Amino acid sequence: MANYATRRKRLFDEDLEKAARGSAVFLERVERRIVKIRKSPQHHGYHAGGVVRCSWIAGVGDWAIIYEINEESQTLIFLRFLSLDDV
Amino acid sequence: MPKISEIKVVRSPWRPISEADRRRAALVVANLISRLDFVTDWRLQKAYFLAEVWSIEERLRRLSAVDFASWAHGPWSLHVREAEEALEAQEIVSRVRHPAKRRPEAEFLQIKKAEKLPPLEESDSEFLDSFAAQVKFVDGEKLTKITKLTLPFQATRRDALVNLDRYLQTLREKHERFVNSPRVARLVAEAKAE
Repeated sequence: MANYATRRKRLFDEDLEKAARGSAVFLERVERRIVKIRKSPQHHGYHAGGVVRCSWIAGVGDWAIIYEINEESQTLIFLRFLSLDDV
Repeated sequence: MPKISEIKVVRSPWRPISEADRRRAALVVANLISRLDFVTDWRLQKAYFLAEVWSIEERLRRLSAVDFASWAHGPWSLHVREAEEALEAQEIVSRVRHPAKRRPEAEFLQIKKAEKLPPLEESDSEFLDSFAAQVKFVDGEKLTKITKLTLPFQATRRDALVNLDRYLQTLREKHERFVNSPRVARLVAEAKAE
């Protein structure tokens, strides 16, 4: 299975840095989740309905990775990394 | 000597699980043992608990129906222990003694007859592969620390059962609220415009 190319928005990396608070275990878990998403983005997340439209969401603990899939260019764009309580 | 009628029988806190759930627990136990190195009873219990929690957090579903209790030394499950014993009785799993890190030697579990195991569903197999890759080199002590930091363990008082079904329900509800949050929509739009 081919990996999708990825682009990470600056805000995504900033969110992740804030969330990890220096925890290597947490960061590794998120990065491994991203590796899985790259292999099969539809399988490892769900398409958001509601007001957060046109984005995909994959949970990691109490957090959510929000990304877009561009099938044409086989690219994933990682948008945000937010707490599920950040509503 | 007390009469039988005078003896108070304390109800077991462990929920009985169905035969299908027992088989499922045994399958998960065997697959964890086969994917991790140097698995002691202790490390198996912690690894199984963490796999359950991560399955809920990443896939929004349980890996199996086993219960865990919150003990001083971290989560522990009678169902996992029973699954392990059933596998030993079927000679699928055996114990070997090896020198250990903190003791002269310890008993490690190993798969004896992998061909006797029914295959796992592809998505479960993939999940356990990824899980094992992350905890394979984490020793029992560190694994215990990680399990104790999980939200469902922290939310449970000592000696009580960890309510993993409620945790799953809570996370599903959080995701529901999350995708309907105007604040989240605004934060996502901000990133899209970047």
